[in-house]
Amino acid sequence: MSPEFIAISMFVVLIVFLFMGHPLAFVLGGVGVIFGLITQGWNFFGMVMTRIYGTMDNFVLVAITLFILMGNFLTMSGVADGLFKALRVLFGPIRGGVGMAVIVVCIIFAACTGIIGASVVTMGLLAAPFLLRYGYSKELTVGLVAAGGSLGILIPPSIMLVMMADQTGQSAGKLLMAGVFPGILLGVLYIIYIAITCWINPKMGPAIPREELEKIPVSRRLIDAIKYALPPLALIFTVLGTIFFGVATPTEAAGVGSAAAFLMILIYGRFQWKNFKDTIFSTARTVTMVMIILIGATTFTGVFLTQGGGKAIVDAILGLGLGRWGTYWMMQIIYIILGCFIDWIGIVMITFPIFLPIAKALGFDTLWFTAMLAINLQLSFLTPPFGYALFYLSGMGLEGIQLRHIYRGVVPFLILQFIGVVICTYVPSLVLWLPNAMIGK
Amino acid sequence: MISKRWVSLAQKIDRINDFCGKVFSWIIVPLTVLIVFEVITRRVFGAPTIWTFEMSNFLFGGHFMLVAAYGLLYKAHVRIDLFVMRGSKKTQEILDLICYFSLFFPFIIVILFHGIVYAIESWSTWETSWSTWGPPLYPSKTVIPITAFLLLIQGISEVIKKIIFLKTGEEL
Repeated sequence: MSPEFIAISMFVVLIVFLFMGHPLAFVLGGVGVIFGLITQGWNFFGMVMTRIYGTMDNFVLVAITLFILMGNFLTMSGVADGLFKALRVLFGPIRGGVGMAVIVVCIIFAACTGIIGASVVTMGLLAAPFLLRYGYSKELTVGLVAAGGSLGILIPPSIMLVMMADQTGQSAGKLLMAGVFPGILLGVLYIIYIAITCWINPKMGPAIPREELEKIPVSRRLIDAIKYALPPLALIFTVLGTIFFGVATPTEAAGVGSAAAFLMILIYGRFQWKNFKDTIFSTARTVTMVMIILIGATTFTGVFLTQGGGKAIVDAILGLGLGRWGTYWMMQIIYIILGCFIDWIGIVMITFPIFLPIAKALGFDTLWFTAMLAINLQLSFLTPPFGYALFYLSGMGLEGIQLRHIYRGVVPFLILQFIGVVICTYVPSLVLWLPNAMIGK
Repeated sequence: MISKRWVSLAQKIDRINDFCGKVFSWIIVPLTVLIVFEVITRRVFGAPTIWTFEMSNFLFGGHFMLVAAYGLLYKAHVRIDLFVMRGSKKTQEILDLICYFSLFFPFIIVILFHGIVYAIESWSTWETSWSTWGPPLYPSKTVIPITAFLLLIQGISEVIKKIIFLKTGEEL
């Protein structure tokens, strides 16, 4: 059997099994083992043990565990509730103001957490009922909560960027910094969109009635905003600042961030033993979910790479004659299509061994290219039928919200996300300026 | 009568992994404390320790590996069920059983066997790390076969539960 044939059949078998509903980690590992046994024999897997141990003995990946813990502690601290309440009245007087407040809270929360589940669920439970009560359209409500909540995984700390750095052998700190401005850019695009649509059509998102606002004096509004904004901002500075200034590695920053988030639980008086225990358990389940996929994937790629088959597919794609940018946009479109069906970890594990060599051959900057794929994956959280943010929202059973509202609501935000991809493609300094300005490289 | 024995086996396995998972979940606490300790000693007092770096890797690896079976028990592992969701519960379980036998068990058995070989090699030479601290590596390497064993028995429990569902329509 030729290596090309084996490489392609590995992918075909992988895709077929992937959609059978079995955990991704074991599908990757299992397909790797079957092909490894056929082509290399039993003893080959001694080498796979070294790869698995390499995944366990990896200080950069420790950041994933700790960022997940930090995000869960932060959710437990309830700081997002307070922040949203404060910003709601602050932004309330303008049309669409509450919606904009949600996006601002999402950006701040995203800069404190590395996963999307936490932010989408928090904002869905917290903000969506308010938006609906103030008369926001159902579509706009779910759309902005889904899009805003998904920023959690792009704006650092981000487990996605740490994992991508590990897969491509880049500095995790630099890649984390590369996610800052694109994430903020998307947030700003959302805010502009909300402002314009609500200004044109106040029925989409009216201002808070004056009578309600007058109950809260302006000074009170400002004090509340500061009280709830300062601790998370301090946390952001501790975590991202130390990485930026080279004081700490992402892993160390994540550890300190977890401790700081735990302090916030104590400060806001939210500590309860039972909740704490549940947080530790649910953190373990999320961590193992992410990390065992890496174990399965390292088995798969271990077999795949010995076939030299990756090269066959890379050559085939380069041979299509689409040119540099044609190939680039083709890869972006493949990401959007995959994002409709597969979750981000799966997409990264399957495509990186092929896409990264292509990008290198075409002379694209690896840091920028990896960040572009990360930005693109924002769409994958919102694209039906398989989008995490959609799952979380429909699972919450919000009053009067049906699946069709969710599907229709995310469309404008998907367009905005794509605009974000286009902007960052043609203005690469948005991605690269911050990592290049970093002090600790 | 036979099916009752299988049910009790599945329940026993579930209890074992529930217990192990809940115990090993706590590894994250010393891990966090250790990292904070390292930052304080190194960045604040300028006196780095030689052992925290490797120690945190041991804790990290042990944490996510040893709770893997617990994750399987609570269906924490991501699956792409968007197409199979359209089929009946029965079809889903049959497809999943096919995956268990053609992918899950081959994968886990390979890891279990080679993991045991890998760990035995390490124990037989009392392998230590090359660093200044030079900690023993065999405990950490033994984590691989233990993880594979816990996953193997959890896989058996999941398969039992699926087969019982297919036969009797009851969910355990």
